[in-house]
Amino acid sequence: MKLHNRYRIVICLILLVAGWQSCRKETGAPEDKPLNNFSEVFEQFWARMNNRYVFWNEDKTDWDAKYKQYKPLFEALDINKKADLQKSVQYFREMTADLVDGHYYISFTQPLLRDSSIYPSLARKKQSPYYHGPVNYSVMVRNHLDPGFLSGADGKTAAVSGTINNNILYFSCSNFFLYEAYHATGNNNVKNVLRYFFNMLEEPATPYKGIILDLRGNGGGDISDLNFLMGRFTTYYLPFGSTRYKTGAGRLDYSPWIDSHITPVKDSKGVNAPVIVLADNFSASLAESVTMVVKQLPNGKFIGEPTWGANGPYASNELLYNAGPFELKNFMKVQTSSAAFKNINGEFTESVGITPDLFVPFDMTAYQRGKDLILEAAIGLLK
Amino acid sequence: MKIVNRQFLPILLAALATGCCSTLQAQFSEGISAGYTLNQPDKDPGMAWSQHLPSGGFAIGIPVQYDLGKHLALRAEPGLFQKNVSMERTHDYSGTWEKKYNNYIQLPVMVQYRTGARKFSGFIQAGLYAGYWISSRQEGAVPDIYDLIDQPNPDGTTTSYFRIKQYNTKYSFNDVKDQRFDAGALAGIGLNYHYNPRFTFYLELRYSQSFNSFEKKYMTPQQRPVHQTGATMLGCMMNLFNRK
Repeated sequence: MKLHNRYRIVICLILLVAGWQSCRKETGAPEDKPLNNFSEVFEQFWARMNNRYVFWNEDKTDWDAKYKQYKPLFEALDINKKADLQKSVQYFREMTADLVDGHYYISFTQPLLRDSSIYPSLARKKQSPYYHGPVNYSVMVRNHLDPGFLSGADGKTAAVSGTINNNILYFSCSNFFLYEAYHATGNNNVKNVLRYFFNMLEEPATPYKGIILDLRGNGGGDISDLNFLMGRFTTYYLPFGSTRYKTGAGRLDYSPWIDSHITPVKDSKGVNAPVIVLADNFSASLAESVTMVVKQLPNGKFIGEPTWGANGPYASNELLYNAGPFELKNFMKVQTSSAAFKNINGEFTESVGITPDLFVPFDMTAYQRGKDLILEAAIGLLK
Repeated sequence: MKIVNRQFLPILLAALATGCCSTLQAQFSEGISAGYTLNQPDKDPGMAWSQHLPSGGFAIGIPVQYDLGKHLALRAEPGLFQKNVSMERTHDYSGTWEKKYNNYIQLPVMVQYRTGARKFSGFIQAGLYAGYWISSRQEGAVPDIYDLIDQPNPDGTTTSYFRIKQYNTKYSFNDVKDQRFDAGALAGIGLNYHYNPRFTFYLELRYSQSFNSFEKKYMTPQQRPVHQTGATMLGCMMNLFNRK
């Protein structure tokens, strides 16, 4: 009988362990409730921001205070009144005005608000006394290019490549959808430009004095392009910063900072010549990533203006990461970074942008005279 | 304030028990214990397609026991206790996971009731503990947003896959978020093997639950999960006053 009791105890112990092991606490698919009133819109927006915004550790916005301040204001709005809908846009604009995320952008899917949008980083830049609008340098660039340069455009990007003074290789693109254009089944002009540039990069007829990558006004694009383009400039893993992800629902649930690097493309010969990247206030997102990579090349330099400051990478797949874009059904879409980024020196440059090695401020008078001071500075440096 | 009061509960309990039983012949024994812990938070992760899993760890302790009589004893077991937290993404997002190895120093104080024969006896014990989260290690894997594998499709489109990147690094505590003080209740059931009058070996299954979350209240709303920990402990006790 005593022996029996002992076995019972042991069996109980085993069952307890087995039962504990089988416990799993799971969160399933995200809720996609219809929004019937502004209270629900506000609550969902506030909560999704609370969970999915990646910069709460760095951002000075007091999100709890925003809740207290704006909850009663939204409760007083009627979702069926046009004037109240427009008032809600103003409230969202005020709530998000100081968010550091350079990617942060709200578009509205509510039919009466389709013309409205919120872009806090642009609004802040416009208030700066040094602000200037996007600048089109293409005519001035073409004046510098040797005859025979190539240019092409598809629906998503425009690319130009050629030589300057027959000894500098030049490449520019308006957005980063290069991989897609290069691998498209049909022929397109961008593919031709890329083939030319890659051929010239890999097998130059005569050694170049340098290479200029012109990313001025480039607002970024497909993240695949980072390795696709910059993987040809290096023969080794090239670190250019570190990335931090959200690991949970809490505002401060983060992974450690994880090294980010460029993986060389297959058979890459790398580039030994000096590489100069040109960027300006409207070079954003992936254009800034490329700029940072060029700065890490042994002979890399950045000439121009400080960049936009959308350094946290962005993935359009909402559920891939615990931070990033989200949508409130039939009301709004929010674009926000999927991860945070620090440069190779450990500096957090979101909303600040990358500082050029050689700062060439925008000069409207020179521009009107047809002078491209930034490009000229680069050519001068490579002489 | 409540948490501070709870700290004194084990001491109060011990003092009461000692006072009540002072006429009994007291015996001290001490020993060493080690075991396997299985911990998980009491809440789900709160992010889409994610789950917490029971997470294994280890525990080591130095049990000190004061026998109040034939059936009753007081036991304290200062030691190191791992309360690891494991999370993984599920469905299409599997491959992303994180395990946090959380090391606590902990002082449990328990009242034990035991009964049985000369060689074997069973026991149950329950009490309270206070602990401190001394260190942590963060290990996991996440799709590296800058490291894509692109595969062109026959229709001209491209499918991109993110390479999974692993990390394993010492965790830096965040003063805003991390609640390093830990207190709770625990209960155990076990089996003693009295090898000789001086040495006793035991196997115990123990469950503990924290009273407070391992997260400070730093945002609203906040789930504030608490540790729920099961442990299987193997130990050896030596009677300090029995030289036979």
